[in-house]
Formats: sequence, structure tokens, C-alpha cells
Amino acid sequence: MLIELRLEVLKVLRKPRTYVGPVAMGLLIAAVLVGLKYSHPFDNVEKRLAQDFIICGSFINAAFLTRYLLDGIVYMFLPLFTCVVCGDLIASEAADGTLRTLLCRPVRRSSVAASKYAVCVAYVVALVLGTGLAAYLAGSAFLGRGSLVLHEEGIWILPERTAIGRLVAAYALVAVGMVAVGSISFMISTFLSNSNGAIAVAIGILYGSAVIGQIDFFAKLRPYLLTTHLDAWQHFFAGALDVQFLARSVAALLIYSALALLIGLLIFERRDVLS
Amino acid sequence: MPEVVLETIGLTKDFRNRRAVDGLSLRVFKGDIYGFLGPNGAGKSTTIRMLTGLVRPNSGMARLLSHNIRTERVRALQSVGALVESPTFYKYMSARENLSVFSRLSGGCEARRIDQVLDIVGLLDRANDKVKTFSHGMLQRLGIAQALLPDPKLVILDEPTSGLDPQGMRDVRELILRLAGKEQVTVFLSSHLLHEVEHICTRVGIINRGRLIAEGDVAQLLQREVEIVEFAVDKVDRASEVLDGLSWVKVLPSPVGRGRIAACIPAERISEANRALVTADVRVSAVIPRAMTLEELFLELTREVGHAD
Repeated sequence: MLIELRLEVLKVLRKPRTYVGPVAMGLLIAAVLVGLKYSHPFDNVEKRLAQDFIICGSFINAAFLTRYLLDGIVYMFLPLFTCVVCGDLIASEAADGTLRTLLCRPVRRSSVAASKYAVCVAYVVALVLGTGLAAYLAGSAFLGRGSLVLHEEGIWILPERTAIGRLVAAYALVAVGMVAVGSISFMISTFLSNSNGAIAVAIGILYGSAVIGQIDFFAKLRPYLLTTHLDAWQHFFAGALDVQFLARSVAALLIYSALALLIGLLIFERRDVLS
Repeated sequence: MPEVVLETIGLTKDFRNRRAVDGLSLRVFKGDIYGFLGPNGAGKSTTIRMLTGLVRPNSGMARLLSHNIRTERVRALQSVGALVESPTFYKYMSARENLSVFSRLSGGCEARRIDQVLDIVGLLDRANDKVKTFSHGMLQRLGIAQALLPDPKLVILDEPTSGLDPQGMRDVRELILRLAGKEQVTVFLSSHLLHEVEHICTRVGIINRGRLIAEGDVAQLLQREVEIVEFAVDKVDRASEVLDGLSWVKVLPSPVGRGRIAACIPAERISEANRALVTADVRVSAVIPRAMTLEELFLELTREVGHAD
């Protein structure tokens, strides 16, 4: 298993698409940073707050940037880059034919799949937490540090230390969610011989879940939908914490991941390699 | 009895409504160079995929080096090298890196062994070049190199000379002979190049529509009760018509040359066939008895099965 894992790490590190996500997230952070620093998009909010409070400095700081970024990446960039790597791990090898050469070797299929999945999880966690860390460090350097001011059902001001704790927890929860998304694309890639198909189907499931969650007719399904729990990170910025809800969401996301992994392993174990 | 290195018993594979391999039973003995022949779509590649554990049979079983490929896949493939269809590698890695990746999955080997197999297939000077710069022929050679990596007792090669130039084909032929001779490796190979198989294989199995229709020593299979006779004639079409009309003659489908026709005829009736041609106003300038080639046997057997259906 260790050998397979090392080989998978080596393969992922040699693939150009592995670096698309981190580079894109870096560019996005830079773009948001420049936008926040020079276009003053929250001037009106600041003026309104100034009517009731004495504002020292700006609430646009590293914590704000790191929190603000999450709105834009949880449904767009992170799932896309997660699926680009996780959906590619098996499907592209099947399409290229290297899966055939690989599985002609005396190696257990389950080891191959498990090591690919481990790489998928490591990549997703590194991408999400790396994005959060990079945003906070860039924000600290160019916007300064300080409390996190939130406008969620009123105004909440989280002291810097609390804000950092919430940000770490939120990014960790997003990472768990992205692992679930990655697990689904990994599962799909075990039976498709086309990585684009695996990426598209996984993204389709995610958006389909989001659409269903918006329709009242399916209200009873909401507690079971992936997107309901992907949104759970927002609770970290809604004032008081609903620990029970957050725990339920973490459990639901882990169940999604475990089921997708299990189904993926079973399919991969039994699949005929015909490409 | 020689040691059985590869054995299939009633191996069957269905793809939806189509039976690709139908109750295939064959045996390959230690030291054999076994040619696995069949027309396109006969089930060769599916059989090879089942032998290497890539495809699960619906029924029957395959044993490699006494290990059941289904229940002991890892042990069965431990001393087996395989090249299944066109060789595929990680394009973003060099030839050496690719071999290193695949060798580690076979329990690893020394760097010296990687250089050794690259040298065997003539790619040592391109060892550090990325695979994406390789031609099809070079990929084919690298495919053979990766099959040789684990120092195998059995090598399974699917169309190993496909895409190679004449010199490359010759090199692979010599390599196979060397492996079987000096290195005592058993070779199981599928090929379309029948004259090649005839020259290097000790035993052959012919498969058509998923069924094994002939198996045995090449010399034994080519030894028939009937003789192949080539007639040099002035009117080939007329001669073919006349010979076709004789119930005990089987005209061979392959063209044997300009103004020539070949047929299977019982030895004692050759003169009778000649007389029939002459009577039909076909001028016969030569009657040449000769041994059957593997190609003729192959075409005859696969045609028989086709007609029987």
C-alpha cells in the first residue's frame, strides 16, 4: 500500500492539472485582495456603521478577506478544482490505457484505488486549507489584521483570536465538504473511462442537489442533501454556534464520503478493464 | 509430462448479448513459444485480458504458474510479464521513470535491471527522454521492456510486433527466441503475422468466434493427410472452377502467385485432379506438391468454422 501511495503522489505531482487549482486560487486571492484594497466596495456599509459606532481603521482586513473568499469559492472554484483532480485519478488512466499496464502487475486493485483516494483527500484538504492560509497571510500583509465584523442578522464583531478560530473551523468544514465532493467524483471515475465525464457528472450532482434544495416541494429531502451540509460552514459566522447542527453536518458529509468511497472501491474491484 | 505454465479450463466471457470467449481450454507448457492466433474479433484480446486479470470471466478458470488468476491474482502475476494491446505509459515521465514506477509494483528491481531491459529493446540511449516524444515503434519496445522487468517465467505478449519496422520486427523475433532459449522463459503471444508465428512458435492455438478450433505443435498441425498441391496454370479462374467441382478437392483461398492455384488434395488423387484440369482445357505447366503453411491452415480452419455457421 505504501508503495502504491508513493507512486500516486509522484504521479499527481508530475501532472500539470494538479497545479491548476492552487495557481487559480492564488490568482483569485490576489484579485479579491486588489479589489478590496483599491475599489472600496464596502464604503457604504462603513458609512452606515459610522453613524452608530466609532470606527477605528477598516473592517476590511485579513479575517474579512478570508471569510469573504469563502462565499465565492465553495460552490464554484473548489468543487471544480477538486473534481478536476479527483475525477481524473482513475478515469484518465483508463482513457490513456495506463490502467491496463498498471493492473497487469501483481498489485491489489483495492490498494491502487485506496492509494488514489488517499491522494485525492490529501489534495483536497491541502487545497482548501492552503487557500485559507494564503488568503489570511496575503490579507495580513496588505490589509492588516484585526477583528472580524459580520453582518449576519445584526452586527457581530468577533475579536481577532475568535475570528481566526472560526475561520480555521469553517475552512476545515469546507475541506470535509470538498472531500465529499471529491469522493463522489472519484466514485464516478471508477466506472467512467473519461475524466471530463467524471468531472461533469460530479459537478452536475452538486448543482442538482443545490437546485433541489431550493424547491419547496423537496423540503423533506433537504436534511439529506449534500449542499445543505456544504453550506454548514456559514454557521461559524452567524454569531452563536449551533454545535449540534454542525456535528450533524460533519457526520453527513463523512457518510457521503464513506459511501462514495465504498461504492467506488466495489466498482473498481469488479470492473472489466477494456480500454 | 512437461510442467503446465498457463492453463485455461472452459474460460467464457460474455459482453451483454455477445459471447466473446466460449469455453476456451488450452495449455501452455514450460519452454513453449505459444502462438495464439485468430481473426479480428475472435476473442484473442479478451482471453489475454482474462489471463492478466483485467477482465473477469463469466465462467471457467485460468491458472498462471499454478495460481488461479481469479482467487490468487497477485501471486499469479508475480512472475509474469505482460504486454496487452498497444503499450501505454505515463507521457509526462521518462522511459526510465515509467519502468521504475511499474517495477515497484512488481516488488521493485535494481536500477541495473531497468538499464538491462532498456538495453535489450534498444532504448538505453533514450532512457531519460519523456515518453511523449516516442514513436509508436519505440513505445512498443518500451512495452516489451516493461514486460521483461520482473524477470518473468512467463511472458504474455499481445501483438508484440505491431507498429514495428522490419528491423524492429526481426529484433523482437530474435528477442523472443533468446528469451525462450537462453532465459528459459515461456512465451504466450498473439499475432496476425502467421509466417512469423510459424517460424518462431513451437505450439499454436487457433481461436475463432471465441472457440479454440485447433491446438498443438506447429509441425504436427501442418502435417495433414492431404497434400497441398500448387498448379501452375494459364487460366486460374477456370482452374479454380474445375477443382471446386471435385468433391475431394479443397481450393485454398489464399492467392499463391500469378498463374498459380493451390489446393488440398489426397496424395493418391493428384493425377486425377491434373487430368480434370487438362480435360477442361486448362494448360498445366507444373504440379508442385508442398507442405501446408500455417497461413493456409489458419485460413482453412477459420473458413470451415465460418461455413459451418
